[in-house]
Amino acid sequence: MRRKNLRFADTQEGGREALLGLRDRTYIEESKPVFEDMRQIVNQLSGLLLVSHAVHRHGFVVGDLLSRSQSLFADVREAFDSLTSGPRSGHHHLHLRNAIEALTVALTAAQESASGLHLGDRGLNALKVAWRELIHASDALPGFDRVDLSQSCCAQHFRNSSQPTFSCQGAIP
Amino acid sequence: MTPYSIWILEYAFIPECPISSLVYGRHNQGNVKLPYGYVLLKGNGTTILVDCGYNHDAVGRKFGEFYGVQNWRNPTVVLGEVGVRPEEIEHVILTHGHFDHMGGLALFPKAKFYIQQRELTKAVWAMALERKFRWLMTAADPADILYAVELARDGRLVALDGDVEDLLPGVDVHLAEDTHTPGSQYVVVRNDGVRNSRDSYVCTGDLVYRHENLHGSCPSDPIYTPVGLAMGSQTNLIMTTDKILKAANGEAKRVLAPHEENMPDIYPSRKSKDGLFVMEVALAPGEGSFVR
Repeated sequence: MRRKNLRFADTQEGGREALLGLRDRTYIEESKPVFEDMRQIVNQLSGLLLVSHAVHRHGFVVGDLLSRSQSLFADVREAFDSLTSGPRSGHHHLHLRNAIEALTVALTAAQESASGLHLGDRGLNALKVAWRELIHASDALPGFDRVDLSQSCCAQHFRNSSQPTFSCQGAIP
Repeated sequence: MTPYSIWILEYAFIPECPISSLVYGRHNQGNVKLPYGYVLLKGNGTTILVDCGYNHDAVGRKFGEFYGVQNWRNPTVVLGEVGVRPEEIEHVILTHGHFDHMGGLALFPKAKFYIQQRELTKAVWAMALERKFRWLMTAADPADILYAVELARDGRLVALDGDVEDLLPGVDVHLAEDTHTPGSQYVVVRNDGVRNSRDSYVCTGDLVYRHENLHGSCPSDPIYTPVGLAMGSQTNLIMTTDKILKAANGEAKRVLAPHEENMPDIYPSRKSKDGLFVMEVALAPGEGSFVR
């Protein structure tokens, strides 16, 4: 609900009270990759859990996959610590912080389990909390999608030409 | 066994999508309607769904809006057209993991779900790759995966390892490795119950979008033409197309492709008040028609 009332300062549709200032805009730009990486860690850990419960012979080197999640998480923490929220982005920042705490619990549970996969109720619940917090963060500011629509999906190819296309934020090397 | 009643039930559609996304190589040749649907089998004391759509009330709404999907209706409405409630669905066979086929897990509270384990393991493999490989992921919704974890813990999500004969009475599944997705499967319904069936139907998922994939617009001199999206190989898709057609007794009309817009012309059908087609493929003895 909050999200609908927030607009970037340089868009014509934003009301005066709803404008996002430079600090908030900078925060959004810098926190987006943090959010996306956290979403990816939730995907990775829940995917590993799914495979562990549903597939008997999955053939994964679980330690490798877990260490990738842990490595990504270390980057996320570092990037998160460098963020400074603005007057309208503090709420979002709080949810990211909560998600990081929950992911810490989930990753610790994974590390401590014998197989690296059976997080137990504690780990699974922490993962759910992390995702819930990311959903709240997604609702708090514009531009934070729960699903990465740039990934392959047959429906993407059906997208009507009138729909917006994905844009690249960086320069093409 | 007795024959199943079989319906294809449309649950949403995209009014216009480029045909090039459905039939490989058809660039700049216009748009066609793209229906979304699932196949319902009812008989032998059970009720089976092939694929389960997506949940518009969750993040599926965003998918739908982004891709221009219209008229989405929930399974209570869609199945209600043939007198079935979502709670009555006992088995759901998932042809693959894309959102419009697997995103409705939570909508069928008593069902057991079947998917190929390769579809799961390759998805997890892709998730572990660097960000620049994210095209290999399939727009996964973490909420769906977490829900699937709970299903698996409860024994309600079964990962299959390749082909399975008689997964359910008269119903076989076949792995189509590295085709549309890494672990797609198609479903063969042998409606006379015999091994070399003369009354079989094939539920294709996205291995066949349109019957044009079976003949390339030239039924008299057919040329298999793959669907527009192969995460695996077009060659594998073509070889699978041949297997599908053979399993369907060589008759295109027995290839049940929910994305095929012309299915309502092939079988008795009607449009619901929501503008969605109900297609009646077969009726078991004693079953009344829901389209006449």
